[in-house]
Amino acid sequence: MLRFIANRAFFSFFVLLAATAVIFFGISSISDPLGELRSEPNISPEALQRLIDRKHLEDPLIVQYGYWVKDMVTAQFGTDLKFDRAIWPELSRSLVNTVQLVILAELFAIAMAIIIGVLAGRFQYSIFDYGTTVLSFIGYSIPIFWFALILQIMAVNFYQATGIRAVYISGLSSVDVPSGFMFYVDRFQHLILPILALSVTSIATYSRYLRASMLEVINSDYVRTARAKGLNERTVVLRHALRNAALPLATVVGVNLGTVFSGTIIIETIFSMPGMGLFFFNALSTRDVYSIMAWLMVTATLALVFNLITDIVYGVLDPRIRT
Amino acid sequence: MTVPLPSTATDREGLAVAHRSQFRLFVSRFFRHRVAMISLVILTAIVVAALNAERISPYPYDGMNLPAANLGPTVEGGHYFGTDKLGRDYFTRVLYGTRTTIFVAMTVAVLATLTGTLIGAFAGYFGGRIDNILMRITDLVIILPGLALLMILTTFLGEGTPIHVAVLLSSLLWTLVARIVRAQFMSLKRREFVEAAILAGASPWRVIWRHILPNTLGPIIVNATLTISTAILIESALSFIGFGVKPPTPALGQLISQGRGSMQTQWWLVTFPGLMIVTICLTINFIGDGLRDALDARQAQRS
Amino acid sequence: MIVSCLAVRPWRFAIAGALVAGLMLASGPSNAQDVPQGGTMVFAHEQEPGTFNMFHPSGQSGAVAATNGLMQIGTYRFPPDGVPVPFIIEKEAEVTNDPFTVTYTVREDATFNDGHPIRAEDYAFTYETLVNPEWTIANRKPYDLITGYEIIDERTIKFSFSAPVPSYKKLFHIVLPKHDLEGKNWDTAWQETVPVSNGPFKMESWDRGQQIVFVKNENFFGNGPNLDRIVMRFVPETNTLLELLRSGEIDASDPQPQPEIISTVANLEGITVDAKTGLLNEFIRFNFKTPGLDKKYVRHAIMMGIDRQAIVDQLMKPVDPTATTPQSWVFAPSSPNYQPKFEALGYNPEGAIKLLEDNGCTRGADQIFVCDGARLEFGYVTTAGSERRELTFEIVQAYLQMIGIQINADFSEAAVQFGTRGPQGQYDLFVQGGLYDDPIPLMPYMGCEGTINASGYCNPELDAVMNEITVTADPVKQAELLNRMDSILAEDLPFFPVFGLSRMVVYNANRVGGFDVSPFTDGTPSTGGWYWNWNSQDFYRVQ
Repeated sequence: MLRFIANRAFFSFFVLLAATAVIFFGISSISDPLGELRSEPNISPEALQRLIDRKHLEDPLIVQYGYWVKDMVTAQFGTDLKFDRAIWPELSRSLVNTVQLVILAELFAIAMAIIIGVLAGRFQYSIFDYGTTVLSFIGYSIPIFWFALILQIMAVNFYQATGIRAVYISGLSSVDVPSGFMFYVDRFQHLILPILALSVTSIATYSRYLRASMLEVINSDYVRTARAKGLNERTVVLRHALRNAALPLATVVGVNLGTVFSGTIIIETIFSMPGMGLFFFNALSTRDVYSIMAWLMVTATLALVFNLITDIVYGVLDPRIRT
Repeated sequence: MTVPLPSTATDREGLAVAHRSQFRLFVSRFFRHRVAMISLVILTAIVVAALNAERISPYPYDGMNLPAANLGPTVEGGHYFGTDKLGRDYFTRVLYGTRTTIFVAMTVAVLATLTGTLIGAFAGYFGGRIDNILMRITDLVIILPGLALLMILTTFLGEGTPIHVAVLLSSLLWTLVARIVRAQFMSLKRREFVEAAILAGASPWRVIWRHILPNTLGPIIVNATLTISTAILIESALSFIGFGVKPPTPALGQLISQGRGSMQTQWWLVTFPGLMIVTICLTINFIGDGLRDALDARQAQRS
Repeated sequence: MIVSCLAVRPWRFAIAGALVAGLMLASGPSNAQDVPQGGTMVFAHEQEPGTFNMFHPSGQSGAVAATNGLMQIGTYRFPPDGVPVPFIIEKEAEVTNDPFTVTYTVREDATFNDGHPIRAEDYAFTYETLVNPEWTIANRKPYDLITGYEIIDERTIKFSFSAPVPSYKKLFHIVLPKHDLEGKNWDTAWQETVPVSNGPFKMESWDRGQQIVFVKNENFFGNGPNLDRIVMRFVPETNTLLELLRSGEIDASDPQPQPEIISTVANLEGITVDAKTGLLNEFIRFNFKTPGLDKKYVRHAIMMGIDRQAIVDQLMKPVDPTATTPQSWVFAPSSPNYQPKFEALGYNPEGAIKLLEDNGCTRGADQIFVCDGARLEFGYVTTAGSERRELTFEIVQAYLQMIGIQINADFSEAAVQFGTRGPQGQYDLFVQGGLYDDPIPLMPYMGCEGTINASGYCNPELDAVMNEITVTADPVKQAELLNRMDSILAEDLPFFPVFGLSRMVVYNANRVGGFDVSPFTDGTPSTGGWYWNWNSQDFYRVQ
């Protein structure tokens, strides 16, 4: 058991190391920070030389890689390219904001998926089943940015029609941040539209998966046994079937995480949320390779850690996987 | 998903015979899937219209007509989708945009499927080290956020031409197909008919090409269709944020982006391109579903 | 009632709104009792500043101008009528020629927000900071022309220059507090916050990524401010900005003058647009090293092929009815010295075609002209992500297509466009905004020996005129020379103005007011880019 965890952990660490190399050499091969610094009209020659020395831009690539990894580990990714400002404070702040959004969106998606998947699987071929199937297909086919824009318009029209400010369409909190319980209410009002927009594809994917999974499980032997034993339908479905059907969902969620992070880039821009997506957008616009690489590392690490956790949890709960 | 195989020998004719009837079965099951059929019809209509945009619409794509700017959808004058800020007919623009989108998506489907199949086949057939390396590469590509990678590649390498965008998209989407193909190959590798072929002295290439690959075509095709839909959504997202197909080449995401500022007053600028994207993806997904059902049904019949 | 009545006719609504705002302003801040006191205004800006140091290279963004305009007040202010008004100084600066000197006398009551008075030593300190090689300064001009200063008394200081600076009124638009900044690292002192400043508002807090809160400066020595607080929210998406205005989550904003905003906002109840076209023009620059563009008749044909008036009518008039086609590079139409030198090459597509044909150009099979072996197909370099710039491109492309010249899009990020492509000459046609009524900024681009003259343009006659302008302080002679420069430019056509850029503020007139956009800046913080916030003390909240 422990060997399994150690095995997976060591392996993930290795992949992470490989990721640093891929990210660094990949970005270095397509960008030219030295050239860009040199052609920046606003930097004085002394400042330029300072930056070159700081980032070792005139050393061979492999040396730069070494310094970058060192910066990553000891100096929290060091400073950005042009203005020598620390990367981590803003990155970590953005990370917190985005993680809020992603966790809430995924939890919401999983909850909805379980409800829809279980009911659809249980009442296969019913109106509910067909209805949710069609909705899932639409969910797969709808562009996130379009959906987000429509949500915004609907929210504002609602406000103009009724005068009630139910939800907000930008930012994380209101201008005068309330305290205590109202702070959470206010935050929720700001997050609900982005969560809806972000989770629509996930809901479609997860619910289809869960439904198929449920259908498979519900006709299996051990469920039939449970029924034969006389347990009521609800226990059978929720306790036995769902548990086995839901487990593989963890892998799907892990694979989907990259897509969800891609989604945050768009959602955060549309809803002006100061998170990772916006951070990335700005870093890219200013072609700040160090911020871009830091962002990639953080995202990759998150995905790896999440997959590692699901692997372990999966391994713990399903001994068959441990081989 | 197991694929049924003839239990008798590798006799070429025998294989051919069994193959034909399976295929027939497959096609007939598909045609019976009503939603998929309707989708196929709609999609074909859209594609044909998009490819023949010049003939269908009396207006040129960039026909600036300032006095006729900002009109809503009208029947007279033939501006069925209205006009934009420069008086250009919107129906024409949406059609041309659809054409670009379809072109990019089809190119991606072909490139990504070929690459993914190749890599998946190698990994699945040879296994061992090769499999390990290839799969780790695939994993790396999967855990990094695709949109971000594409934006980076476009910033530093990009030209904004449809071909370029298609190539970049393919470099990420091959992973979907690769995984499926690999799984297929791994399971098929162990089948008797394959073992028999190897014993009979067939080279790995012949085994892959002649024996295993034909039986993986089903899942490959289904996944190819779904790749098209994914490609369309990612491409329109990219053009929306300005990292995809660059103007003046039209693209649906671009049209939405250009129109979103006046969404309140000129709703048609955003609605029609968006509806087009949703329609195309929806039909493709239904068709893919139909294909998958037809595939499954074929197996259900046999087992 | 008036509002809903006027909302039906958007143009009148906008004009009426501007009139009302103007009337309110005309009654002046001195009648403070008429203007409601107190309240908060929520203002949305598209970008967050990276620093508040307006002289640092990273501080050249509009966000830095937006925030600093609230916190700082300068030696002169630039109201919409274009006549600079002394503010920190008690009277007009005294100027002598030969040698060129400027003498400032600071107001008795001028103070910083901590009560410490503004004095001559602060001017000296500001100058010392700007020329100190230890600090990273984006642009030291024209402060590097100062040869020395003399502190005559506590409130009076005289600067001597090595050459005349015709735009001397733009100097010292920021006065740094010596008592606070002396001894500190200037590069980082104003990176996170600005503790001591002299404007109507001071910075209270910065909620990164979200908003900055400014509060009233109780020690402000001018009139007002009327508001207690201004909260500046960051909203990068223009569409979201409009939604926020509609939903009332924000009260006002200073968006880029994108065409779609105008049509949307014109139809929203209660939303007013205050836009003015100033001295800034969007212009197209030619690269003389591109085959085809080195021929004067080709350049003339290009200008004649574009209907600049139609562009103004379509893109600018909806928001600014007074917008006109710019015909002079050096003076605005309202100036007494205005001479429309660029008028000769008005819209004339047949004339353009004839010009090309008369010079031996022939049309290829695809209808594109070939002149002397050079096919007239050019790349058009401009900023990506700007709706207005993309629209302009499409219009220009359409017009030039009609006279047999092909233009291809070549969009870049602003950083790349201005950082690399412009200075290195990687373009055929280069599009940007600017105005040069002062040839010193023009010389590096256009002079034969220009340091960033990547276009290959060279005319010794122009160089001679520009050099003469820099040593002429007499305004009459100077105007004459500037117009002569304009004539040469209109003939050689290294660039030409397409349309005037307007500056605008969009706000909810039911909640806030007091805006009076002044388009007399180029938008750069290091030279005073305040256009909507130059009179922030006059902003008020409707009670």
